[in-house]
Amino acid sequence: MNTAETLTLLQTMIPATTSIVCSLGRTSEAAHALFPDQTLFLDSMGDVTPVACGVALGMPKSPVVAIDTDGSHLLGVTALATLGGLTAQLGNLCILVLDNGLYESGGGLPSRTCALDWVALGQAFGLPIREVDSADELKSALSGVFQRLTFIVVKIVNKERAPDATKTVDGLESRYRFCRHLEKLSGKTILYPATKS
Amino acid sequence: MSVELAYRALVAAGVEKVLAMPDSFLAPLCRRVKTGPEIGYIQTTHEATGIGMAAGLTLTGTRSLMLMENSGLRSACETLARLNLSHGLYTCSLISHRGAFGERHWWGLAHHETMVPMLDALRFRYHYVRSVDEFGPALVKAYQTLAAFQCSVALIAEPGLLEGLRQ
Repeated sequence: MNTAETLTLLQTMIPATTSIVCSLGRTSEAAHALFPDQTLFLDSMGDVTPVACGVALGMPKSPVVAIDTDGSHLLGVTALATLGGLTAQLGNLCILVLDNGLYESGGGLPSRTCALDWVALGQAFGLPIREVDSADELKSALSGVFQRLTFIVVKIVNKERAPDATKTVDGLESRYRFCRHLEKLSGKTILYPATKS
Repeated sequence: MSVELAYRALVAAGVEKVLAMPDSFLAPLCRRVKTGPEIGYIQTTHEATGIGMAAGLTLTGTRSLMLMENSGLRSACETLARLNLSHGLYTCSLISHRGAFGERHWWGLAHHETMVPMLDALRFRYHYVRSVDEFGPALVKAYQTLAAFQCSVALIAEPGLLEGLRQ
């Protein structure tokens, strides 16, 4: 599967108002085409999964997806030790790691120089990581999504070079849009009006 | 017990989740929060993980507090720079002041030397808390400042507060 196919399939398997925290590069562009106003676009490798985890813990009745990438996830791999202790509290979280094996935005070099067994990595921390390599496998892995912590690593092959960036939303605009989305979902005020007192 | 007073101050301030990368100074407060029951306790293995999770919690309107030693600013610097400066994703932290005047340990002094330059560079608003009595009022103001959504906030736990937490 390629990045766009993966996210298009994801879109069919999750509620329309799902909150998303997304990694950068090609993945970000593809997510912006599908989920422009419900996604926190993070240009912050290593932080996608922890931030999504915080959102999921703060809104336990709302579905949350972390769309992470292999390079980003490996940079923040220490988060797994924390996630392993929170599985019972994170039934509303789906972590999707799109693994192309590359630092694509960083020049196309490999994201690791050794074999990586994601399933074994998950097992080491008590995390139910599933590796998938096809649309059918991804559908199956997503079948119980948001009933328990779902953690899927999707093997990605993009035959075309990454398109030029078209998304003009910066970090701050994305934060504001995402806050408005969360306010609408939760009914809570997150950004307070300025008052004089 | 002063640690109990500090814990009660957290509860009174409406803190719902404490994230922690424990250090010897803040460990008594970590232990107290962990035994609960009012506040959720999440222990991390890296300060950046806690900061990221706290930022996500803040976005949902959930009041969270990251507990870490001041060396954690260096450890989580990349995350803090990205979240604070590029994304406007803010957090509130209680940071133990390792290396304060009177520090006995050689390895602690550099923690002090880098603390304020890093807080300034990462655009934190910060306030020194010198006793357990000051902790509650400082927390209230910290969350007022955080609610402005313009910066992250740090309360720096000075030796007087840290000694109080051991009692």
